[in-house]
Amino acid sequence: MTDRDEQRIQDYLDGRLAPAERAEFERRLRDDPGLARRLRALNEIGAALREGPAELSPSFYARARRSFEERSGRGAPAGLRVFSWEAAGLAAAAALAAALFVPHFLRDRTSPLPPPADPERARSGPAETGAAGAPSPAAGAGIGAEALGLSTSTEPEEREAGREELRKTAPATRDERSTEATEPRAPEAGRRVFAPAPAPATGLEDAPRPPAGRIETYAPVPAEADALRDAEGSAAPPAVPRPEPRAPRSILPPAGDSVADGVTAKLDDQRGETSVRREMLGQIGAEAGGAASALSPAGPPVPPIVPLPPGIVGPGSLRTIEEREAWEALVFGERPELLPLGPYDPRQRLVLIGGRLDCSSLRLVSTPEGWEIHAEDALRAPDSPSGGCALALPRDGRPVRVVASQ
Amino acid sequence: MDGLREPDGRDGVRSPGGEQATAELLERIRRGDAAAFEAVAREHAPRLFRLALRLSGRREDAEDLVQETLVRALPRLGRFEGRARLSTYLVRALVNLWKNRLRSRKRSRIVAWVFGSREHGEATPEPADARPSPLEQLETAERAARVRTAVAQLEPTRRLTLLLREVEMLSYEEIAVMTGVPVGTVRSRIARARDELRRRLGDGP
Repeated sequence: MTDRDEQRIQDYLDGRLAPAERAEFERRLRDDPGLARRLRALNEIGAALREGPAELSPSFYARARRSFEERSGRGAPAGLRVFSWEAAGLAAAAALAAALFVPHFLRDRTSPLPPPADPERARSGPAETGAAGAPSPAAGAGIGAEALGLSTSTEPEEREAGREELRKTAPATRDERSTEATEPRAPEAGRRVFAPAPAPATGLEDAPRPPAGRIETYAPVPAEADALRDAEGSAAPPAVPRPEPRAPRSILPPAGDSVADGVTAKLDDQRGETSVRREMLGQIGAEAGGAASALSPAGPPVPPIVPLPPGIVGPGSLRTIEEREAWEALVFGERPELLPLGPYDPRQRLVLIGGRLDCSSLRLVSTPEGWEIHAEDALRAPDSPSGGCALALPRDGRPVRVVASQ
Repeated sequence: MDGLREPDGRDGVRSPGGEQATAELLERIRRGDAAAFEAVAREHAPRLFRLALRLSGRREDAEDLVQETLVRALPRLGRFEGRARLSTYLVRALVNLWKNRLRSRKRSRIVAWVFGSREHGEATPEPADARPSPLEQLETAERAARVRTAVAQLEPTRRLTLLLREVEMLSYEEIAVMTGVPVGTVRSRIARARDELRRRLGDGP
C-alpha cells in the first residue's frame, strides 16, 4: 500500500475524486482485496462515529430552557424588561435635567410669547408650536414640567409653587439615580449575571443587592447573619459592615473569615463567571433560580459546609442526595456531627465529596457549565481526616464538578 | 420538509418559508422567548449532541456543551443577519466552546470526583450500547464503542477535524474555515486520524 493509495482512499471516502479518477479507483478496488479491506475498515470507522447513542437525557430541554431563562432575565419578557429599565433611565434623566434647568427657567424666564389663552391647552404640550411651526421654548418647558407633574404657569406665585414642587421632586430624582445604579439591569445576551431572585418578599428588601454584571461587596443583614451563625454554631458576630455601593472591584475576604465578617462575591467580567464564597449558598440558591431561598425568614437555614466522618463516601467520589429518606438517614442517622446540614429541603440537594479535605477551604464557583467546587486549597490539608465534606446546592439540575489545579 | 433539506439531510431551513419561520423564532429568542428557544433547541440539539459526545467522550460534558452552545449562540445569531446557516453556525459555536474548555482544562484538571454513584435523583446515564439487544446489534455496538474509545484517544485537533468530516459531513473547505487552518492541514489531519484509528482498532498496518 503506497502513500498515494492511502491518499486515494481518503479522497474517495471524502468524495474528492474526479469522475474519471473515481472510476479508476473503483476498478482497482475490485482487483485489490487489500485496498478494498482498507477502505471497508475506514468506512466502518466513519459509520461507527455517525451511529451510536445520540439521545439527550429527558431533562435536557428543561435544563436548557431554564438556563436560557436565567440568562434572559428569569423568564420575564425581554422586551418588557428592557422597556422598563430604559423607561426608568429616561425618566431619571428627564427628572434630573428638569431639576437642574427648569428652576432657572422658571426664575429667569421672560417669555417672548404671550401666555396661552387656555392653560389646559398649554399643558397639552406636544400640540403647541411656535409661529414658525417649530416647538416653542415654552412648549418644550411645558412638556418637561408636565412630565414631572409640575405646573407650567408663569405667574410669580405659581412659579414659587413650581419651585416648591421641584424641591420636593429633587430628592426623588436622586433616589431614582441611586436605584438605577444599584439595581440589576437587563443582562446582555450571553452574559451570566448575578442577581437575587426578585420575587418573594423576604423581609430583607433593604439589604444591598449586588448589581448585575458587576458584583461588588455584599454583606448579610443581621437576621441573615444570625441564621448563618446559628447554623454554624459560632459565637456572637462582629458588626456587619455595610458595603460601599459602587466599589469598582470586589476583593475576596481571606479564607477563614467568619460569615458575619461579610460575604463577597465577584463576577469575573471576562469569563462571565460568578465566584462566590461558600457563605453565599443561600444567595446562590436564589441566583440559580431555585425556589430555595435561605434568605427568606420562612425558609430553611443555610446548610454550611460540614466535614464528613469517614465511611460515608469514598475518597475521590462525589455523590448527591435528593430524596428525603436518604437525606434524613444521613443527617439523623446517628451522625450528630451532620445535624448542621439541617432537615430535608426539597429545593436543595446535598453534595458529598469524599477525600482528605479541609472543608473550610472549599470554594464554590458558578460557571456557565454548572457548579464547580474548587478544592485546590482544601487538598493541601494532609492532616485533615479522610472523610470529606458535605454542602447543599440548589436542586437546579446543573452538573457539579470538583476541580483542583495542577 | 424533505424537499427543503440538503442532500445529506442537514439543515432544513433553506426554503424561504423555513428561513422566515426560523428568522421569526430567532427574533423571539433575542427577545427572551423561552418557547422559541426550546423549539429551535429541539431541532438542533440532537445533532449537536452527537458531535459533542464524540468530542468530549462523556455524556454529561456533551449535554453541558450543547446546552451552553444553544444558550449562548442562539440569542446572538442576529449578528449574522442570515448569512450563515443556522446549523453551521451552531456547530462552529460548539467547536469554539469545546476548544475553550480544552484550553481551560489544560490549566486545571477535573480530578477523580465524578458523578459515579448518585445516591438518588437523576439516573446515572448509561451508555446506550449497554442495553440488551440481539447479538448482531451487540457486535455493532461493541465495535462502535471501541471506535469511540479510540477516537477519544486521538490528539484533540485530529479528533475534531475527523469528527467534523465524519459526523458533520463537512467539506474540507468548510472544516478549514471552521478550524482556521489551511485545507491541506485538514486533509493531513483527517488522513492521520483515520490511520491512527485503523491501527488502534487492529485493522493492520
